[in-house]
Amino acid sequence: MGRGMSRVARLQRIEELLLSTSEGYTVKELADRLGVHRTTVWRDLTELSLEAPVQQFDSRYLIDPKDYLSSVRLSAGESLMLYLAMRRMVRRRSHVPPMMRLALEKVALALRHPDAVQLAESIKAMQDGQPADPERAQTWETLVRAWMDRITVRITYQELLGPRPYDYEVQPYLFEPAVLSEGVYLIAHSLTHNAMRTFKVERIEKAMLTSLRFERPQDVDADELLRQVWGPWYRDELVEVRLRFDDPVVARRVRETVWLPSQQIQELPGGGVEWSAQVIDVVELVPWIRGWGPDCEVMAPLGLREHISEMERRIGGVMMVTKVPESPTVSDTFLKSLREFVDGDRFLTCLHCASCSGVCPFGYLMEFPPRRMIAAIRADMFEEVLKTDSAWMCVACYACTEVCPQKIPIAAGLMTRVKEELLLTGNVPAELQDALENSGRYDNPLGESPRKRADWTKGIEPEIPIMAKAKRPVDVLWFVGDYPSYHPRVQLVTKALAKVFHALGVDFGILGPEEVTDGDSQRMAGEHGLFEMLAEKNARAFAKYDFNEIVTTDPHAFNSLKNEYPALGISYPVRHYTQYLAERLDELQPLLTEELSATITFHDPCYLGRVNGIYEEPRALLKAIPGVELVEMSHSHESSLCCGGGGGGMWLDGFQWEKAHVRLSEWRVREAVSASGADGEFRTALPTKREIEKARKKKPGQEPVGRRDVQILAVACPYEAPRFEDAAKMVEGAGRLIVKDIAELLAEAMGEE
Amino acid sequence: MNIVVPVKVVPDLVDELEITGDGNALDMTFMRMALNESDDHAIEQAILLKERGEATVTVMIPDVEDAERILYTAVAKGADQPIKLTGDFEDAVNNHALARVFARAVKEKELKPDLVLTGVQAHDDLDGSLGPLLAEYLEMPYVGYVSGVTLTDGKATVRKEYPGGLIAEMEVTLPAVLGIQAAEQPPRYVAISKTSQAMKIGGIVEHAVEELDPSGGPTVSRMSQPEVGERAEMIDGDEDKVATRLIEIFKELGVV
Repeated sequence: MGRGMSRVARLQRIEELLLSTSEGYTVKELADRLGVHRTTVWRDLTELSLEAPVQQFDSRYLIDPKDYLSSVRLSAGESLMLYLAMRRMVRRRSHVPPMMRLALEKVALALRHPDAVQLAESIKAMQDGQPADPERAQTWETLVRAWMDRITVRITYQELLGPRPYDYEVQPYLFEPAVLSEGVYLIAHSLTHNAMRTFKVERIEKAMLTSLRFERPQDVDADELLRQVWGPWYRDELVEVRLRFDDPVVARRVRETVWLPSQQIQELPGGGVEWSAQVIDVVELVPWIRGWGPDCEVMAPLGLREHISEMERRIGGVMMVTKVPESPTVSDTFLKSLREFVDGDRFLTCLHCASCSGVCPFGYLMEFPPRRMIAAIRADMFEEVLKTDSAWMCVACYACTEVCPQKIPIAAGLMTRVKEELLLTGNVPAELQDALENSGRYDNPLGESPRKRADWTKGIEPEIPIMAKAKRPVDVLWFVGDYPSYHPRVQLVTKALAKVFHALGVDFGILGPEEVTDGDSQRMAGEHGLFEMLAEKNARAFAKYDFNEIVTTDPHAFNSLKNEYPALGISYPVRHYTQYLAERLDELQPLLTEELSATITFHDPCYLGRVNGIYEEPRALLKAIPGVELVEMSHSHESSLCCGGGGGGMWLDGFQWEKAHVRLSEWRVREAVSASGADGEFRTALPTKREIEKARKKKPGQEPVGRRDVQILAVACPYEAPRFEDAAKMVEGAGRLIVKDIAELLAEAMGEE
Repeated sequence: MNIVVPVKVVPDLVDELEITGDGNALDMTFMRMALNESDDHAIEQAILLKERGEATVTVMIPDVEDAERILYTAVAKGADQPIKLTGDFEDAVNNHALARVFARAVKEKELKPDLVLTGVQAHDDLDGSLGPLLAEYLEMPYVGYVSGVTLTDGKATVRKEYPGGLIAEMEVTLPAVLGIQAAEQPPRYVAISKTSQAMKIGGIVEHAVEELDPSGGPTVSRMSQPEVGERAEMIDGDEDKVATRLIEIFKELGVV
């Protein structure tokens, strides 16, 4: 084996053998081991003695490692490499053991470079900058000695997270520099644990040799040991750490380096990598992982992921930047909420033409009519708007929205949101508060008993089918509504509509006590939470029964069922009764046998006309009544004037009167009087058939009671009959004006049963 | 400052009251219950006091239908601690029993109130109002018919209303029980979304009460709907006829 060995190699081998024995070798033993003649060994031993302290005891030769400084001959390049490695290790240490500094100094000199002396001087200077720490220096000396001589050593070790230092008896097997820091680890067999353990040398506070020597077992493979440990950090179980680097540039940096011997790198689509390694303890990885910042995502283990995430969160708290980004202002937040509406971005396009403020029936006395509200948002002073109660003058009539050249959702968006803001801060007029509380408590704004919702049906023949009792599918589910159910005046409309339905043979049913207020006006008054709660109640009732479509008495109910409920997942075909009847006009027409002989003007309800574009169906029904002359008011169709009941106005009469001292309903009634020419004889009811006959038999030449004598304001919304009747009492010359719902006029035109 | 507001529910007069077959009690089977109106004012007054200074407001209610909604509404308005007393409150409970239960709970929960605010009256007070009974069991002074409270250094200055429009301002040493006739402002509106939010957060503390002790209250022997007296005379006819008849009647009565 040794026969082909060069002399230099043989000398090295002999040196190693002599160093590794404590008993010493005889010349014969060495000759046998090297496979050379004894004289060759003799000659080699003589030469080796010139350079190394070879000792002889009773013809046995050995070298005592304690006294031995290996002489190494390095090329210039090799010296530089060694110098760089040591330099790196030394530079960032808080404490440089003297032996480390001396070694570096020697390597620097070994460079034989013109500047080598200067380098060595600078290394010497390092010592001057550091406090002498003889104890630490001693620790290093002791550990090296224990490692060299295989002596068990007692160390005092302070764990990073330990409460206090503990003593361990360990047998040092190996030193290993940390991969990602400047530390040095001692891998040793701990007698205390009876297991392999890793100790960071920097944390060993004291080391003392014991008298116990040890042998390193042959089966401990240093490579295997090092391959698996991080740090290295020898403990019990291996943990898989997986890190994900998505950025291709960062991933390239990850690939460049062997961060850990056990690492695996898996390519990801998009140029990223997933880095994984088996480690014993993840704690030592933390600084390295955090060094990657947000480029590194910890995929496993979960505890590490949480730890890193928590650290980064805390950093945000500790390193608070003095200039904190400004929090959004009231105006910003409000505008953001407006932009969430359908067409909400149009708020940004306002031209400030003030058409909205001009057309608004109460715009002239609002501190902030719509245009000024938008201006306030732009001026970042929206909180000023919230200090006023301007918004409670809004009757949600959609006149502003209709006239806006930019088609900004003023009524649905701006005005409703402002009301909501006012409501959330408790800025609610008392009357409105009652209506809202009643709606929440009794399911109707009037504060009536929910059990009495179908009381209007008592005594009606044929009986009005209530779904819970009828227990059968129907074609039409008639959503009666609040005022049609409870208000004595509007109940007349309801009964009339029931009569029309019966006459037409409509297969219908009502929910009765299971019906709750549609919530639309409450929604337009800013109570969106209440609206949702009510809608859900109705939805539960709808879901219980079979029907083909919903028909409403009330345009507000129609509007919410058609346009708002679907967003809450409540979607049914729905029509206002005027639409339903207009479609069946062919069947209805023959039933309208009684001549009414009246001038009729029709008031377009806001939520039928402007909001939902239904203008012709109600007029078609009116025109079908014999003897009717239909005239239009100066404001009609899209420009119709509001009765004042929308958007919560129905429950703000007192509040609005105090502010305005006018009623919108009176304004409308004046227009109706003017259009229909209602003046002269005072009438409170339609002329009966008998009256008309009687009049016709009067003296020849005298005008019969006819269309010129009866003026009717026709309506199609339950808010309107009571509002306009009240207004007619206040408007001079309106005493003759008769307010009738289209349903009532149709029922009357059908005559007696 | 600890303010405790014990409240109760009363029959909601939106529906007709019905009497049991025995004829001596209200039929509670389908009865709709509502928070007693002046108790609502007591809650409002407590929250107003809290808003004016440091105070913890505890609202306490027997476990009846709607109790949780009432508690969460109070929380949404600003109350801190909602307590639901659990026990057998199914049948009508008199104020003697309620006062004992409230007083016990105040002690057991160690609420240490500086001020107990309760509605001065309820339309079902058959055995006197709750406040004085409660004051007796808590060994505190009582002032009723209060419509304004100002707190200063261990004392409360209260506005007490007397019949005939007289108002007295008096000082009472705390702790004390006050019977609130009206809060300084009407009970505020709280948006449904805020109440729902309070419900989602939860926080109602349940406190079990032992058997109710109604002793000391009256025994109802008979209960009835208002009896119909002699019917009013309805005058039929047109305006002239009605006016003539009215003048006759007034002459008979010596009014004209």
